[in-house]
Amino acid sequence: MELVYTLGAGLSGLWSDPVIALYIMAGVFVGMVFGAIPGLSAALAVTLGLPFTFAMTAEQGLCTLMGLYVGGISGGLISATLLNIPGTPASLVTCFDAAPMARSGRPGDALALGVFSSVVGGLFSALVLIVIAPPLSKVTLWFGPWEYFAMGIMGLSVVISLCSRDIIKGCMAAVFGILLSSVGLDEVSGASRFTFGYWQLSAGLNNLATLMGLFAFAEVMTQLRNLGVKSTQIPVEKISLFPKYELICGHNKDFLVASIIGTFIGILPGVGSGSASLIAYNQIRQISKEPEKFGTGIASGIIASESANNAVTGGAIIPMLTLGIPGDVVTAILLGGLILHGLQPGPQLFTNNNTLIGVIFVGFIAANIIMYFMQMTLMQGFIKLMSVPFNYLFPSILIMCLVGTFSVNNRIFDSWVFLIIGILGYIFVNLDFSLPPLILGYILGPIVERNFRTAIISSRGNLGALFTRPIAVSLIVFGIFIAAWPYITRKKQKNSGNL
Amino acid sequence: MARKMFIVLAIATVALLTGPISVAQEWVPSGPVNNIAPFNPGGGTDLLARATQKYIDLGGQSMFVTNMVGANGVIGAMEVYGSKPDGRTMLCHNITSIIGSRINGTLEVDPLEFEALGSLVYDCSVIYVSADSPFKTISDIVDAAKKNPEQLKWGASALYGTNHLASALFFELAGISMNYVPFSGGSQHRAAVMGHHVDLGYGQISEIYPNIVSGEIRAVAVLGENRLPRLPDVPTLKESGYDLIDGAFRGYFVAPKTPKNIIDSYAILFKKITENPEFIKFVEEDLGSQVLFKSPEDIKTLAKEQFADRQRIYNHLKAKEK
Repeated sequence: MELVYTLGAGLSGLWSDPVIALYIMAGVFVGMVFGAIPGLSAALAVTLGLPFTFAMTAEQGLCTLMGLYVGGISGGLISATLLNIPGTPASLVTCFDAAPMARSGRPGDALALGVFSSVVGGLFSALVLIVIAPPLSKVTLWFGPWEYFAMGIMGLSVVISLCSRDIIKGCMAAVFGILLSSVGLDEVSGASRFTFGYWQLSAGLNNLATLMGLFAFAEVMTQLRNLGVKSTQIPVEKISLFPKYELICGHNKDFLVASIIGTFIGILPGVGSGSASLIAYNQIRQISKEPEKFGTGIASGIIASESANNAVTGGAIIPMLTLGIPGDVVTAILLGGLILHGLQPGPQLFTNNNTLIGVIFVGFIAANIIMYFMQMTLMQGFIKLMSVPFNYLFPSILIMCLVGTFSVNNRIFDSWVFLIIGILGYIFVNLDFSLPPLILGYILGPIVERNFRTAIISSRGNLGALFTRPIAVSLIVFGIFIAAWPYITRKKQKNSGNL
Repeated sequence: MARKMFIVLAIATVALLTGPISVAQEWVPSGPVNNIAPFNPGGGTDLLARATQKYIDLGGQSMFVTNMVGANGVIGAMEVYGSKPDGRTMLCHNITSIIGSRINGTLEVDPLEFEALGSLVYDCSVIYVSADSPFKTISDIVDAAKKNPEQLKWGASALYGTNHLASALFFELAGISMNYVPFSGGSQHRAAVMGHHVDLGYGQISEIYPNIVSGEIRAVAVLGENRLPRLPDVPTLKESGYDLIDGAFRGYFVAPKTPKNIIDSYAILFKKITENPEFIKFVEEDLGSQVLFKSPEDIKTLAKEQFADRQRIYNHLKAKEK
């Protein structure tokens, strides 16, 4: 009943401010442009969009950012299909089957199926978001310092499964991220840390400047190397508004499994859409009747990747709204957007700003539907975008970043943070460290540290108090399970001998 | 006729003589005024800055609000400290916080060097509990704390911050000891009180007012001189016999060495805002705080008093730690 009320409030919120619909459309469009162009990611689209939302109301701003998010994640499939290059990191797995299908003379089918899978995944996660978030926000009052601490530990344990290839480097990156986050005034004791007597540093490294540096600057520098590399693009005939029925029929299970996996991974803090589509792809291959056909241009492969990575979007918004803990990098930036508009995420948001929550729900659904029709009708235009030369794109992106980092807090200092962190990030990427663990450490480190210290003071130094908190203990056990998962699966594969 | 002439001449002379003087007193900024709010948009400080922008009359000049967040307001304060003393850059802050930042070492300059322009809003501190808590009055709390020393959990913001120092002053006055649990901000300890993770909370009224209205939280005592206009049933701490005033006197500061005529002109402008019924309605209904004008001189006296008190309790706390 309450849910109907929230949705009603959202609908009337949208109705009374029709500009929001325009903002969502603009967001989805720009997001898709960023997604379609290889090298420009969904995270970049949302980061660059944030400064533009300052002047908007909270509803307009958040809807714009969500549009960018949804558009960016789904736009990536175009270049994955036609160039065999993921347009955004999330669509890496899409290349596996969409590109072969396109090469075998069915590019239109591959694109249509990809877009359709995207909207299914997105809408599924929207449903979960709407059903789960409000009751979950009531449960969050049970969350005290110990529970937030355990939640953070669970998120950090994902680092291990994220970088199963080189765990040492992954952990080093995470620790470096935690160190970056501890610069400035400590919020528990009020002491200055790592400021080297320089008062400008006492505010710490601005979140947005740091994230933009790591993502935008390091990314652009890395992409610069690919300047002038020619890629072969497959020509496409006109595509219809809906994919052919025989493409989707019989794949209900694939859609469902990919959407569930994507949403669930989205809810876990910090895993992100790239790993979600990989996990969904592997899972669907395992349950498939024809696993050998995966990688040759099979429909199930496209569905797995695209449904999963779009399902992450709705899932990732759940912990952001209810707990104030971002589900992935993009929602970390969305969280910044909420706080910039003076809104504190968490249970109070649901009681005090019911209309905003409603607008977010309805806006998210709208963004997915708009994404579908926009991508289907404007496909030819997006395809042309892929040939825009980077010589023009990259300088303008860097300028937007510099202006953006300044405008967040009106400090030139933050633009310097952006540049220096960006150079550090570039060095990191070149040394083969991956950035996601670093970002995880940066975002979750303070949550773990602060809450642990508050909790331990609250229990007068007694660590045993943790074991009287069932939610906290189960979160930590679950975290250990996530961390151990890669080893368990590896052992299983070894035992069955199909490595 | 001659007499009439004389009166007219006399009036004209008086007008001529006083005219230029009043023009000299009324200082007008030479360009737009930058109002720096050193906290996040939507907080008590930011809302006051934006309300000031709306209601101030700068004689044709405009005011714009710049949020410069970080280090408990120190980043914005330092920006104003280094600005030209021409009255065109001002800081929306409160003296208690500035002093707190100085005492814990974040602020490297003397807070008394800032020129106060006066304060407009008194965001008084509140001792609060969740709606279903057994603590109804201050004596309930003091009795319980005396029975179980160090056991009651008192949730507030960072250690050695303004809330901690004021809480320690209260514990000292009442002769009690509690477990001070530091949280990173108002919304965190508010959620902890509502979720029963701590027994009591201590913060400023604007941080918890919406939850008092919605019935999730109950205020036990306010730390102002008088009861709050919107919460007439909540007694002051003074009424319970503990003479402690704490809260944020939110107002404005400018760079050191700003000329006196600029300070006086602003003080008049701010006083006028505090008499505006629309402004009063906004502060009382939306923030739950109260409008209270304090002149630049009042703020200076208050600053000296608070500095001494809080430095003493800080040294005391630090000594106890060792």
